[in-house]
Amino acid sequence: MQPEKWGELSRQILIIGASARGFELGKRLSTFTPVMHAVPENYHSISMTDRGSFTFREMSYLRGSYGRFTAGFKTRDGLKEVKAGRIIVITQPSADLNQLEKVEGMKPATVAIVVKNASPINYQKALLGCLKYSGKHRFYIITDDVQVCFPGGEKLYGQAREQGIVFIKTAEYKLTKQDGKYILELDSRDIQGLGEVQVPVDLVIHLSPRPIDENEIKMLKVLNVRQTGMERYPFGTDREGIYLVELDWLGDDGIESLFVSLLLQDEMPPATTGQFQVQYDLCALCLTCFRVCPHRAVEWGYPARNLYGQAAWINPVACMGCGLCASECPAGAIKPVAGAAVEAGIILACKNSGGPILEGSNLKYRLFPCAGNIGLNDIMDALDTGNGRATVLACRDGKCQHGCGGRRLEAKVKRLRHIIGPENADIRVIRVSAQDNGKVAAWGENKASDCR
Amino acid sequence: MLHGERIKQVIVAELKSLEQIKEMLAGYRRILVLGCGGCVTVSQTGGQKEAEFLVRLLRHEIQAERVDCQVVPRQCEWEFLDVLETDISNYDVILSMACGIGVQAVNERYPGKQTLPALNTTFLGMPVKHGLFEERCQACGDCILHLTGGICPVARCSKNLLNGPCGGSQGGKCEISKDTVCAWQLIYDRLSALGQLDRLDVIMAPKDWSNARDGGPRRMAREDLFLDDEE
Repeated sequence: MQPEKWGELSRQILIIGASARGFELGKRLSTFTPVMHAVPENYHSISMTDRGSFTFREMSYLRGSYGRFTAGFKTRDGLKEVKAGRIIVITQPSADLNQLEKVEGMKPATVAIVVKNASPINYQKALLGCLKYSGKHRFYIITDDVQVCFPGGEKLYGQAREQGIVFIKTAEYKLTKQDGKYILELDSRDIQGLGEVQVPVDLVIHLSPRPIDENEIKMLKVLNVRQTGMERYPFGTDREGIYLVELDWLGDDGIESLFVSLLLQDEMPPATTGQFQVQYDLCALCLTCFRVCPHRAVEWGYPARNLYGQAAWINPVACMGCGLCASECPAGAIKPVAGAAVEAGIILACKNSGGPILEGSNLKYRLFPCAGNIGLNDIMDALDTGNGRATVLACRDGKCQHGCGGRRLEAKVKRLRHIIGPENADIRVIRVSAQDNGKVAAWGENKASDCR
Repeated sequence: MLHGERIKQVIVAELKSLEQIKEMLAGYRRILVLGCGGCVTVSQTGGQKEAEFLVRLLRHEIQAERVDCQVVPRQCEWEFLDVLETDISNYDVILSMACGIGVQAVNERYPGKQTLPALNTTFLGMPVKHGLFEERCQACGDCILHLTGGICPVARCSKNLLNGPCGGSQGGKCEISKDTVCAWQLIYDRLSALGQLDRLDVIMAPKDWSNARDGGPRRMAREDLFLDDEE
């Protein structure tokens, strides 16, 4: 039921975007695989001598998944369809991350780093940079939202806090300069009881991205990419096979690292067995999985045929294993490939956020790849095991690597409460972060002891 | 039947309240929850997952000797119901998670057992977005979609008006609720886009409702499909 051979999938790499560096990258990649360039029409200054390139006005659609993409472009001569296995999009540069190096030669100072609307990549860079110099300087990270959805993100955030880096979450701040020093004024309602705060700092570094142009925003929508900086850092996205490369990164090093990672993938596809599979004869072709998959890894009509003439199919190389499809499939047709024995648990937890907290504890718990994978039936089983009580741990909003697992879970719990009546459903949903480690007591020592 | 069509128009249903279900099941000790793999699977109310859920719910909520679950591809086909024959003696009652058609079919196929409805069958509709179902057809038996720009006033106008809109159409919405779009506004917009606004000048004659429910229960005979050994 897997694609028979890796060779069946398209090997062509489509590079979207215009820059000399992009063509440089294409040249390098073309040493092992076919490459096609799609160049936005307004960048006509680029010489289009390359045979493997075309210009387009607008990207209109993207179908399929990793290895099987079909991209549609509006061009001067009408609609053009391109088949591609992987897609690299060269985006406008975001923040100038090298600014952090400024602090290297400085005397010990207080540095404020402003990270607004930033991608997880920028957060990672900011955190790594601060950690590097945290022994010498004092850092404040002023941010609208702390991002940790990149590999190791939670851990890095924890380290940063241990090192005394102060995170101030606020959307509004004012900067004034007095006697060569900056005063950062924050009206922070997020800091409890503090209200207006004034922080004197020596240096302010902005790591917020420059405005992305409208066309780019439109294209990201068509590509259905919601998060960047996932998996195969730094270019991967929440969709396998789609890479966003900021122009800034496309130096010689960037090209080389992208070349190596794409070459390795070509030799060794990331996952030849998917983590979830459709049992085709049960598929009702209701398209639930296709719609809910946050990574757009589901297609239909390939390769199986069932009662309806076609069935849903999870592209094993595009699946990121969250299992949202399995918990929501109304026909119960989607199952994990490696069906581990299910142990009864009173605590159901997302392995990313709840896993590290529960690890090593003697509580009775069951881990799921994502809170979105926890289904109504799992909660019912937990209520059964716990004599009418269950606890569910999910990521905080905006922290889920799979989009919105926690929110989908809360909606299910709400429905369950509605059906059996709130008084009969003692279900606690706790939004946690892996950094809440050791805080099990905070949600009630007596509750915790019930779970043993 | 509707089920076999590829168009995503399905019978939409919703779970009865737990109180109602418990009341219906009072006195029964051995219960079979019977799911349906057709429309109600697609409308997320009566498929395998929901049937398993109801079983867990009942085991949790009522004192019964046994509550089991089985799902057939469609409860509205005799052949799919045959497979229940071997197990049915183990149960006192069947709780069907199909639409009203399925519940009646199971009752008819197994007259010795009572089959109860777990769902309220609500309408013929489609998911306009994932999780939001809207009514689109009332099976009136005399389709006029070719006259109304492909939008059905019978199913989608609150008053089933054939010559709308009425005075309750405000800003494109129906007076009954701000969530209900005025079907005649939609018809006007669509006819306007199609360049067929002149259709609105023609007064539609009263509809022949005898093909709808007014003519009593309906049946459709296709003699060409009858098998030789049938009457």
